[in-house]
Amino acid sequence: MNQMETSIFSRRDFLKVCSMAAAAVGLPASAADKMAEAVAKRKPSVVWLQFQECTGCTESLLRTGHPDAAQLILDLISLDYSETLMAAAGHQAEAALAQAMKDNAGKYVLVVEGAIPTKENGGYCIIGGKTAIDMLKEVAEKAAAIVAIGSCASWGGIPSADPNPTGAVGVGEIVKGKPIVTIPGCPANPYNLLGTVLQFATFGTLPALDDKGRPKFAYARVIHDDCPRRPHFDNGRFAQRYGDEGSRQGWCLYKLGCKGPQTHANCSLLSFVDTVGAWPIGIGAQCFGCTEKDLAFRVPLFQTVDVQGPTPPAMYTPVNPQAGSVSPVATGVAGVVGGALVGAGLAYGAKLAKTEDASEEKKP
Amino acid sequence: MSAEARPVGGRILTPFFYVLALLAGIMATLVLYRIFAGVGSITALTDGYSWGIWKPINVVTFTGIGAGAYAVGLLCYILNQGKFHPLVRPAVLVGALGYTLGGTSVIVDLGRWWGSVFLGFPPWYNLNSILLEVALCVITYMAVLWVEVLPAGLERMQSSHSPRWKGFADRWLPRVRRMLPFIIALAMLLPTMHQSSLGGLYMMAPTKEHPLWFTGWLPFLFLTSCLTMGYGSVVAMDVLLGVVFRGKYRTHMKLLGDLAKVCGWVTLFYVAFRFAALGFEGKLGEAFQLTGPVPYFWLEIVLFLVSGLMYLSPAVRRNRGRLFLAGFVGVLAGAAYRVDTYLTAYDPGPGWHYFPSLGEIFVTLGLAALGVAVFIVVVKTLPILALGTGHDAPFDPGRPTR
Amino acid sequence: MTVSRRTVLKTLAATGAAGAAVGVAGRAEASHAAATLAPDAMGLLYDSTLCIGCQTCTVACQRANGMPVDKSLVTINGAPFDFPSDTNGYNKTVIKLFDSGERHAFMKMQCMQCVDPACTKACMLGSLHKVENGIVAWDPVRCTGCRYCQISCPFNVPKFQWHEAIPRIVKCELCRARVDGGKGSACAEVCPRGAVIAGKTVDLLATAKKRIAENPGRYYGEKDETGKVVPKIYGEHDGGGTQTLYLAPAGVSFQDLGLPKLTHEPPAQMAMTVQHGVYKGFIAPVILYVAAAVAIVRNLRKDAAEAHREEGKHS
Repeated sequence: MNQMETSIFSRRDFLKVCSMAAAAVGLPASAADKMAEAVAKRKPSVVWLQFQECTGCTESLLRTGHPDAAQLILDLISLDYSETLMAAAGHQAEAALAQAMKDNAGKYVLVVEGAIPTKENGGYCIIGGKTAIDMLKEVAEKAAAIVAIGSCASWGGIPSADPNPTGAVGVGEIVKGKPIVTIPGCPANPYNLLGTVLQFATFGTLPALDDKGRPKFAYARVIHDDCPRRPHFDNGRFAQRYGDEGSRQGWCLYKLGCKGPQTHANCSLLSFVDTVGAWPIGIGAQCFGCTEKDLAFRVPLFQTVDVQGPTPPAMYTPVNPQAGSVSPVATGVAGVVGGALVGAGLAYGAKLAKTEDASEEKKP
Repeated sequence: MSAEARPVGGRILTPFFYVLALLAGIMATLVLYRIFAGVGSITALTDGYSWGIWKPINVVTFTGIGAGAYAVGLLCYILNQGKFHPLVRPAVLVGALGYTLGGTSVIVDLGRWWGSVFLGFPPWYNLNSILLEVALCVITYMAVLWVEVLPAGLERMQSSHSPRWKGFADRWLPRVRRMLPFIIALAMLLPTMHQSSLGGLYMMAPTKEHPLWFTGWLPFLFLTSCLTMGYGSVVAMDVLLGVVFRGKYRTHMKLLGDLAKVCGWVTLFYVAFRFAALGFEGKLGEAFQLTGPVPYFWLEIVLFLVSGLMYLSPAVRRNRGRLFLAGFVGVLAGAAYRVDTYLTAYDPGPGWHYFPSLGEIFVTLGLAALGVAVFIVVVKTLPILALGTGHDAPFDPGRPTR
Repeated sequence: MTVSRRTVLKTLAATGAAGAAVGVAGRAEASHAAATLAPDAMGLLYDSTLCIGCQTCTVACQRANGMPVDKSLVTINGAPFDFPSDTNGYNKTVIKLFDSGERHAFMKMQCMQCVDPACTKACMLGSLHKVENGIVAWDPVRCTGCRYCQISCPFNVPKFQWHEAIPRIVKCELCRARVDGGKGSACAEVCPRGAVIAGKTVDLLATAKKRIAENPGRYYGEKDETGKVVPKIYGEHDGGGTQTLYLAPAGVSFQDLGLPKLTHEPPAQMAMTVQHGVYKGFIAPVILYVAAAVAIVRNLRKDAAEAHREEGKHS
C-alpha cells in the first residue's frame, strides 16, 4: 500500500477527516492542519505485528468511526504490514514487510498486538519460520516508535494467566533499551492508539507516559474516578446480585467485585464501537480490570478490591460537627434582662442602705 | 402558733401585677406551642446540651430560693429556735411556690411528659436513678409544702362569714395541726435528700463536668449551699416585704440578724469545704488555670465570700439595705453555683454550642413572674405574714419575740 | 424522752411502708458492683482501616429500622449537604471523617452497647434497659423524655427528636427489631469491605486480636504500663468495657475519631457508689425521719409546756 493520491476524496473531506481524528484523540484544533500537511508530504509507515492474540485489538480498531478504518488506512497512515488486513499472504507478505523496513528504516511505527511466548525458545508462536521473539527483535530494531496495543502486548494479557504454560510476556520483556508505549486493555480502546499514532505522525512526539509506558491522557485515572455509576457508590447504593433490584436500577457494582477502583483506563470517556455504554459497566457487568497486570485474569471476578487512596470528598461530615446555635438576639436579651435584675437588686439594696444610714444619723 | 399572721390586704391589680401577668401570659403561650411543636421549637437545646437554663434556674435555683422553708425550719423545729417562727410561714409559701414553679418547668421540659404518671408506679422504679429520687422527693415535698400552707387557708376560712366554710375549717384545722409534726419531719427529710441529689445528678457525667465542679461531694455542697440560698432568700425577702408593705409589715431585724450570723458561718464553711474538697482531690491547681469556665468558679467564690462576710458584720446586720444586699448576693452565689454546675462547667464535647433561646428566657421570666404574682395574691388574701405590733424595730435588741 | 411509744411506732410504720413500696425492684440492676461482659453479649467490630466511607451502612440502617427521612438540612462549610451530620433522632448510625490534612480516617458512630451502661442507671423508670444479648434497648412506654440519659452517656449516643410532639429517644439497638424482614445488624450485612462486622463480643475481640497479631503496625496503639506501645482495641476495657469495639489506623488516635478517653471504670460507678452508699436499704432516710419527728414532737411539747407556764404566770 503505497502513498495514494487523495483524489478519492476532496481536500475538504480530507481536512475534515484530519480534524475529526485530531479531535477524537484530544489533539488541538491546529493539529488538523499540521496533520494534513505532514500526511500530504508522506504518510507515516506503520508495521503491525500480531503474536499470541485474539485479534480483538485489530477488530476494535476496525470499528472506529472518526476516523473510520478506511480513512485511517487510506488517508492518514500507510499500513505496510498487517496480517489481518493486508491483501498479500505468504511470501508476498514477508517481502512486503522486508521492503517496508528497508524503505522506512528508522521512521516506521511498530505496533505490536499479542503476547510473546518465551518457553521452548519461543516455539509456541512461529510465523514464517521465525519465532515471535526473533521477529519482534528484528522489526523493533529499526522502528522509530514501538506501541504495544492491548494487554497481551503490554504485559502478557490472557495468555500469561496462571500457570502461563507458554511463558507469555509483553513487548517490554523482549525489547529492551527503547521507549515502548503500552496501551493495555482487552481490547484496548482504539482511540488511545489513534491518539498516540496520530500525534507521532503529526508532531513526531509521543504523548506523556506513566511509569508503565501508558499514555497519561488515557490511563492517568482509574475507572472509579470517571464512572457514570459513581454517584451510586457515593450514596451507598449497590447491586448485591445479578438481576436484583440494585442491578436493575443500574447501581454501583462494587460489591460484585468491580475492579474499577484499581483499574487505570478511560473506558467510560471514550466509547468503544462509538456506542455509549458499550463497555462492561455500561451493560451491568463488573469491570474486571483488563488493563491491569495485577488484576485481570488473576483476581477472581467477584472479589472486591480496596479503593486506592480514597480521598474523601471535600464535603464530609466531620468527627465533631458544629452543633447548636447561639442566637445573638437571645444573648443580648439575656444579658440585658440578667444585668437589669442583678443590677436592680444591688442598686435597691445600696439605696436602702444609704437611706438607713441617713435615718440613723438623724436619730439623736 | 401564728396568732400574729394576717392577710396584708390591699389592691391586687397594680401596674406591677399587670406586668407580671403579661410575662406569665407569654410563658403560657410558649408552653402551649411547645406541647404541639416539640421541645426544640422554643428552646435552643441540642443532643449535646440536652438541659439548658430551665433545669438550673427554674428547677434548682427557684427551689433553692424556696429552701428557706427548709433552712429556717431546721432552726425553728429541729434546733428548737422557736423565735424564728414568724419567718416560717412566708418562707413556706415561697417554698411551695418555688417548688410548684420548678415542678411545672420540669413537666414543660419533659419530652414525653405523659410518662410521668408512672412516677406513681413503684414496680417500674429504677432505684439506680438519682433523677428518680429527685423527682419523687420533689413531688412529695411540693405536696408537703402546700399542706404546710394549708393552716393559713383554714385560718382564713375560720374568720369567714359562711357557716359552712367556718365549720369545715373548725373541723379540719385542729386535725391538720395535729399532723403537723409528722409533716414537718417530712419537710426536713425530703429537702435533705433532693437538694443534695440535685447536685448529685452531675456525678453521672464525669467526662463532661469540669474537674473544679465534678466531685463526689456534689450532694453535700449542694445541700450546704441550698441552706445559704434559703437563708439569703428569707433575709432579702423579709427586708423587701417590710419596705413594700411599709406600715403594715415590719422587717424582723433582730431575727434576721440572728439568721445572718448562722448563715454567715454556713457560707464560710461552704467555701472552706469547697477548697478542702478540691485540695483533697488534688485539683487546686485547676483553679489557677484561667481557661474555660474557671473564672466563673472564682466569681462564685467571691459572691459567697462577700455575702458570708457581710452577714458576719454587725454593721451590715444593723442596716436593712446592707442586710438585703447580703441576702441578695447570697442567693446570687447559690444560683451561680447551680448554673455553673449544670451549664457553664458542663462540656459535652467539641463542636457543641449552647446559649438559651428567647423562648427559654421568656419561659423562665414568665414562671418567675407567675410565682411573684401568686405570692402577692396569697400574701394579700391569706394570713401568711406576721403583721402588727410586738416585733422588734431596728436597733432594738433583746425584746422577747414569742 | 417524752415522746410516747405510740408516736415512735406510728412513725416507723409509716416510713416502713414507704420504704417497702419503693424497695420493690423493677428493672433496677445490681447496685454498684461493675457488670462484666456476658458470653452471649452481642456487638459490632468497626475497623477504621478497612472503611472506605461509602456510607452504605448509614443507608441500610435507615431502611432496616424504618426510619423516616431526615429532613434536617445540614450545611458543612456553608454548602448544603444531604447526609446527616451526626446520629440524631432520625439516624442511628453515621460515617464521619477525620481529616487533619496529612492523615485521614473514617469513623462509624452508633451506640457502644456498654457492658455497664450509664444510661440504664440514669433512666428514672428503666426505659433504657439491657435485654437479651446485652443489647441496650429503649422502651417508649416508660420514657418521660427527661433526657438524663443524654447527660450521662459519655459518648453522647442517645439522640432525641426535638421537634416532635411525641418525641422518641433514638439509638442503635443492633437491629433487634428490623422492619425490612432481615435479621441481624443491617450495617454489618451490607458493608462491602467488612469494615463493620457483627457478632458476639467475645468473638469480635478474638477477631480484633487476630488482626492485630497479623499486622500490628497497621493499628493505632497506646503505651501500656511498661511503656511499650501496644495496639489498642477501644472498648475492650474503656468505660468498663463496651460490646461495640473499634480499631483505628496507626497514627490516628481514638480521640481523633471522636471517642472519649475513658478509664477502665464504668462512667456511672462513682455516682452509684455515693448514691447507694448513702441510701443503702433506705436506712439513712428512715433514721433521719424518725429522728426529725422525735425532735419536732419533743420541741413542740416543750414549747407548749413553756407557754402554759407563761400563761400560768400571767393569769
